[in-house]
Amino acid sequence: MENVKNGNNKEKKRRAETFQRLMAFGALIIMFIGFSLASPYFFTFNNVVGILIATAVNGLLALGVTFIIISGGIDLSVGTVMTLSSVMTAVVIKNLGLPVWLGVIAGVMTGSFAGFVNGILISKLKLPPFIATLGMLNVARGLSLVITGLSPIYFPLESGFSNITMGSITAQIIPGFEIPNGVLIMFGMALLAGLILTKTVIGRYTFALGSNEEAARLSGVNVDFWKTAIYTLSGFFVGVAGVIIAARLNSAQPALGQGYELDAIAAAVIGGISMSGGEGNMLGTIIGAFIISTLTNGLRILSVPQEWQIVVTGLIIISAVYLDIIRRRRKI
Amino acid sequence: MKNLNSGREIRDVSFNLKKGEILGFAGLVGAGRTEVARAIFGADPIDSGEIYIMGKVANIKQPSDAVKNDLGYLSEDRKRYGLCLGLDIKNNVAMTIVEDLTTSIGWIKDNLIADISGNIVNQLSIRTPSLEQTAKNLSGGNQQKVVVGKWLAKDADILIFDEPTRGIDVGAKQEIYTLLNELAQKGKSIIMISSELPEILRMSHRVVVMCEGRITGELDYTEATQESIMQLATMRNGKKPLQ
Repeated sequence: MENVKNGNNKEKKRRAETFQRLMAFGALIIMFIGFSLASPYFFTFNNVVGILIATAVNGLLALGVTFIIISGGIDLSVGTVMTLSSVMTAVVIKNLGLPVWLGVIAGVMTGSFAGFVNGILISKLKLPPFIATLGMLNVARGLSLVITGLSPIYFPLESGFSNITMGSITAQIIPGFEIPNGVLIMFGMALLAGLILTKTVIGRYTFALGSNEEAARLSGVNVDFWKTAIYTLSGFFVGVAGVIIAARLNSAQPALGQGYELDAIAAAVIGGISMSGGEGNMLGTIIGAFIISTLTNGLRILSVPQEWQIVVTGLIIISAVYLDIIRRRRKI
Repeated sequence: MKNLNSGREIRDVSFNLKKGEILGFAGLVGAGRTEVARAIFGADPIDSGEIYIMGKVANIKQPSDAVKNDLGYLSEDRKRYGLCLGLDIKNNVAMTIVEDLTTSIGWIKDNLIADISGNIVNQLSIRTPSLEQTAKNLSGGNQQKVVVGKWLAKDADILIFDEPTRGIDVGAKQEIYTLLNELAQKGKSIIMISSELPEILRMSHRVVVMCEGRITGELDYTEATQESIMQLATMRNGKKPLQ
């Protein structure tokens, strides 16, 4: 009898996971269809590209945040650390006059280092993740303002820096088919994040820590080390986001960033990542990010005031989490 | 001869563990046995004392150190401390070895892990339709086997079992006893903490008895009886441990 019950459980689990992924994807498709029917301006090449590029930054942040949430933590600092990363990139390229690639490295290293500091605060100093990253949120924001002297830093046009995001390799290969590089980078990073999550030790431990940190510790996993590593890894993606947004705006805007963390977390949650940790996948996160930007874009095309867009996003978050709770209850 | 010797200032606990033996740890609930186990395993900090393994001092500050020294620990609360209930059998069993089984660029050798977990599931007769079964859905006995499997995968030499058959049905209990004997025969050194006297009497080569944080006595299997153990288990007044 036990075998029969267990056999059914495995089936149910597989079906539930697939259902959840399909549901998020299905919601996205329905939105697309809905908005296309409601307005002829929606399903045009330019508009879809607009959605893609709008998703790029949030998508990257969401990838980083997903690692952290699955591991059982939270990171409120991703928005302002992204800004700080873009500021450091600008300082290296504009103020120090160094080559673009050094600027990119500076940005990515800044994000990774901030993540590292978060990790140390949380694992060694035992600060609760909420508090530690809240502190980092403020420190990063403050540093961005201090370093820039409160005003934006503009990248010199000759540097070609903005091509990182806004240039298009695809247009060079297939004329007229202009997908911005930033979009390709996001998809590439999403693939990388997915591989890391499923195929590497740090990915495995991300799930272990989120599922039962103490059991992992008592199995010999060096929890302090790996937790710090996970936050650092997340910071890497945040740093990349900083470079991408700086290239998109061709400037580092120090007052930007705060609030971005909420959209990143929302993307993960809508994509089906459980806030209690231990489960999730990157595909869901990316779909979640697309749902948010599709929604924002569609509502704007329909001339829905921006205030209402925000309300709708909030409602979607609530529904997504609620549906997830229901699904969980049905699963044994 | 494998010697494990630890003394802790607060409770002055010292004992030896020999290779291939099952050392029973008896005592009333609250006697401090779990605390000793956790201290040896690095799960809790030690105020003072040394652990010698094979004659050499072992520096164990956290569980990862203990595991590197080939120790394994099965806590008495397997659901809370022994398993990641949300993960499947394969990943629970492989938790101790996953770091060792990667390619040069860092990818986990999933096939190898599936093989090893599969072998262990068979070896321990863990009843499950697949390796992907979530640990949460297993019976108590099978869950305990998964925890044992985790340490078998690592091939730990010194195993500390804390209440190994608590909450397990009779059939699985038998299997665990058989397993413990097999492990001892293979040369593993086992500490078995148990509050079930029949279990202690039946399985142990020697018995260490604790009371209120101190070791009150050591008996070999010829001397160990319900009376002698209970006498030592209730011996308060901070008597010095017998040498």
